[in-house]
Amino acid sequence: MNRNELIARIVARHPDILDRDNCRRCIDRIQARIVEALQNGDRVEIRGFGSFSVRHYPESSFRNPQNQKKVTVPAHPVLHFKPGKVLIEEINAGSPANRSSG
Amino acid sequence: MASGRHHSRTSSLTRIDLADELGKQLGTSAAGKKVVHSFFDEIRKSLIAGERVQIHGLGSFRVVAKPARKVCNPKTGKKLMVPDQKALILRLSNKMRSQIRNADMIRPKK
Repeated sequence: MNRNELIARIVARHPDILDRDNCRRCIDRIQARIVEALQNGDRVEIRGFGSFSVRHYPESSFRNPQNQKKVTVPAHPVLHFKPGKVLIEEINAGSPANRSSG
Repeated sequence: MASGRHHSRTSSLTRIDLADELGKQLGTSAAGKKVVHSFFDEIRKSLIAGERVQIHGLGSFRVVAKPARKVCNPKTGKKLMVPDQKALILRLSNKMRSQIRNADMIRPKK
């Protein structure tokens, strides 16, 4: 599924609330807010789905065994996504769990 | 109920924040809530069905199979079999990766 298909499915669920253009803008906002939060160093926690957080890798250096040159990798942030417990259980089961909320 | 929520204590962005954000665009926060729910729910359903979900500007979610493997409990030396499992991985898009990498504000919080 790609972004356009996702938009179509959301619009199909809520024809009374939004159309395709509106939905596209909404998804843009969702993505922008997620990036903003992560850039601020905040976590993003979506219950039942998963959480996004930024991990910090310290500077490290290696020596290339072929030419003995030292390579330094600077400290850098990396995004970490941890799937939610329920979601990963559902994926393993191959079917949605019985939950009251639809 | 959700509209007055602030994040002075925790620093997590949640569904409620996203719903508030969309509420501004859609008129009511109830509408925002529904759309946020559907956004993640449709991704979820797709992943459960085994599909790959690629969101332009964010990345792609993919289910990968992890074959069963033997592990040893180092304390007791007992061998255990970990059964087949599926894992969900997110591979970031180049755009998002550079947005994270180049954010000067991101510093370890401690």
